[in-house]
Amino acid sequence: MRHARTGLMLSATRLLVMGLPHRIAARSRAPGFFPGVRNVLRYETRRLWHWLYERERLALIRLRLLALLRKR
Amino acid sequence: MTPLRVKDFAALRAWLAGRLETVRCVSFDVFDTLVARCIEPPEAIQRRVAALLAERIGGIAPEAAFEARRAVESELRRAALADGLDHECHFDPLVEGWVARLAGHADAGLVDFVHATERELEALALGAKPGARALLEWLRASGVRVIAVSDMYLSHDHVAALLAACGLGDLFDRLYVSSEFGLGKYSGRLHARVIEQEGLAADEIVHVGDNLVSDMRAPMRLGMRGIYLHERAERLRRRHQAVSADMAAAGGVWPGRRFFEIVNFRMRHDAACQRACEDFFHHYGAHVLGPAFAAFLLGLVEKIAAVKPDKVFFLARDGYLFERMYTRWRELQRDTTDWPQAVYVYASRRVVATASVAEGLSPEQAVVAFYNPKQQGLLSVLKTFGLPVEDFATFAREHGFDDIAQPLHDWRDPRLLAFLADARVQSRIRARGAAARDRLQRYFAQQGFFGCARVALVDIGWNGTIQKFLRDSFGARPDYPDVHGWYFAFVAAMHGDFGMGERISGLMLDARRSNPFERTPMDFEEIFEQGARSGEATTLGYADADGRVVPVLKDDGAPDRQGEIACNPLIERFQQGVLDHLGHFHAAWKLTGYGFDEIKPYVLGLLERAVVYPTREEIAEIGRLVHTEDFGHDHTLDIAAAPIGYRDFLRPRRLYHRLRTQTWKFAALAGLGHLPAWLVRWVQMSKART
Repeated sequence: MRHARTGLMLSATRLLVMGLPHRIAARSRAPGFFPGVRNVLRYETRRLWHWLYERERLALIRLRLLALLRKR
Repeated sequence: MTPLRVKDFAALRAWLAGRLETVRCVSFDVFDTLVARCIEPPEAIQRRVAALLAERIGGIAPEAAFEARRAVESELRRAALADGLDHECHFDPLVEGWVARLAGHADAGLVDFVHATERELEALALGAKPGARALLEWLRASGVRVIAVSDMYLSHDHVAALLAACGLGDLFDRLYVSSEFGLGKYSGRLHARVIEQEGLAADEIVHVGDNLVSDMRAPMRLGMRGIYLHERAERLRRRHQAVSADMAAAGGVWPGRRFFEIVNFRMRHDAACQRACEDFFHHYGAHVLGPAFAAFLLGLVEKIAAVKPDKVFFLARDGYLFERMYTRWRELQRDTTDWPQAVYVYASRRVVATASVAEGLSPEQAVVAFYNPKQQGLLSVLKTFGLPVEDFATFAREHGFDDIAQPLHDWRDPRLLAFLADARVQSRIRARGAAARDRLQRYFAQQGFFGCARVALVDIGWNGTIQKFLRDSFGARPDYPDVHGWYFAFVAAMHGDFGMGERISGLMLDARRSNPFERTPMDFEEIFEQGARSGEATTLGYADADGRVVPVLKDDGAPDRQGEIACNPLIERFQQGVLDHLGHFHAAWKLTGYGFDEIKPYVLGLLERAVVYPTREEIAEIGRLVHTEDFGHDHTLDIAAAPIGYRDFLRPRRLYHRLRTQTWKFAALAGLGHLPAWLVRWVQMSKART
């Protein structure tokens, strides 16, 4: 079985880990692929929020419940 | 009526299949239902149009131009409400009002520009969702009327053109656009108008869309069947891209990451590209080398715009792919016309090195032969400078070289110094060098190098040797142009920057910047050379033929050349992948307007992943390539040597030497997982700091 190939997209966390030797060991402040810890937290928190919460999904559940109650 | 949700087109088709006798018309929402945007949020396109309009008018900040558009749009929507319509607005009066507000007067030229730009960007951004066309074709074949109903500020013709561009234009019996009626789906008034104009009973029409209010609740209130298309993955994709767009404001790696999300989405929706990417080499070209080389090309395009060279010379052999990419970019970027001419020139370090000894060979010049790790002493010196061994064998013996191929580890070796100080040796070297210089000079003159005010040399890297030797050989000519060297990576190891300063530049890596994040190309130069090279052999010299100077290439019968020829089909697949990537890269560039410096940090991350943390498949497939080294000593490099196991750590000295001499060190470490590679990186970076 062929493993999934690594494509164009690298997760923010992976970039963070890969960039640690450059940012910390080399103590470089040069522009590079290190995304910054706070930025990664901000990004992942927002992604998680979108994953958990979907206004449309909740509204659909509400509509379905209303339709069910009306039938009864 | 119970609200109905379907998760994809297959589920929708299954639901409709059982009701084809009662359903007479299926109405579809357009945006995010049948077609998807590669850039989110949709406002991003409006911002880009605003930025381009502001640039065209001049003296206006992009943000101010966008705010002006919103203000005009808001006024139009309020006016529509006052007229008893829904708060819909039409693109035509919006653009006229916007241009008048920004330019201070009506300007038909600017109005046309905005229309054309918004059409072009929307067409680049949109694509039919997988399965959309098949579903519509099935419905039509089943005798069901198919219509599209969209809440959109664009005109009917504009939306129809976009659907046609997505390959769906011929599949609708009618298209209803809210801007044309001043009525929206969300209020139910556009649906009511559709029922009226279609002349059908409400329960004979099914409407499908991705918005709960506009596409399900509103039609259901009118007695239509509203179906909510809930594609969770696609909805999350849009939201994540919107988050990425916000994060891009933080700078650093984020704009590049957002940029490649767009490229990635486009590539995933390009069926031909997806099929081709089944092949490893195409995939690697499209996903690893593609971003690196396309970003380099964008940097080149920016340099060309800033420096304005008369001609751009792409140097054989690694300039081959860059010349193809440059030609493709020119085709894609039709609104720019003043591109400098591209010239592919056959040159190599060997031919310019031979020409550079027309005034004799000094020990300082000879030292370049020893940069090759497999150097063979005086033999490498002679080969590097294209000097026939048989002409110098007698003199070599006289000066103590019993074995001419014995490696020399000290370039101040007394035998070498005595050999080079010998007048007879220098006389022969000068004769050879003068003849080579004459032919090289005539070849470059034939290519239009001399006489230009300013030219650029483009190559993969690494030391700018050809640029240096050209200057050393012909720099005294009065018509020698102002030469700029633009390289993928400039390591400045052999001759520093030889006083060229800003006239030499490594775009992805420039050792003079001392940026550790740029280091990756140096850790595996061979893959970039392989990815960019032409299928032809290296240039050994020039010959006169029919009044012209023609390049003499290495014989195809040479053993190392045979290996290369066998790999040429793989290289071509790499390059097709890169060119596929370039088309999508160009579209993303048009949509975002990001510059080279904004994209580069993420590209460096991609390269770090590919070189330092390769997958097993990557190591195995790339290990099939044959890489030749022919400067001074002809040999082939073993790209991916045997992997290192934990047992090897029991003999650390041997392990150290093995790692030091390996072409792709991280491939050897890959069998141990990512942690050892990460630790080696840490050690390298700590050393670099000290």
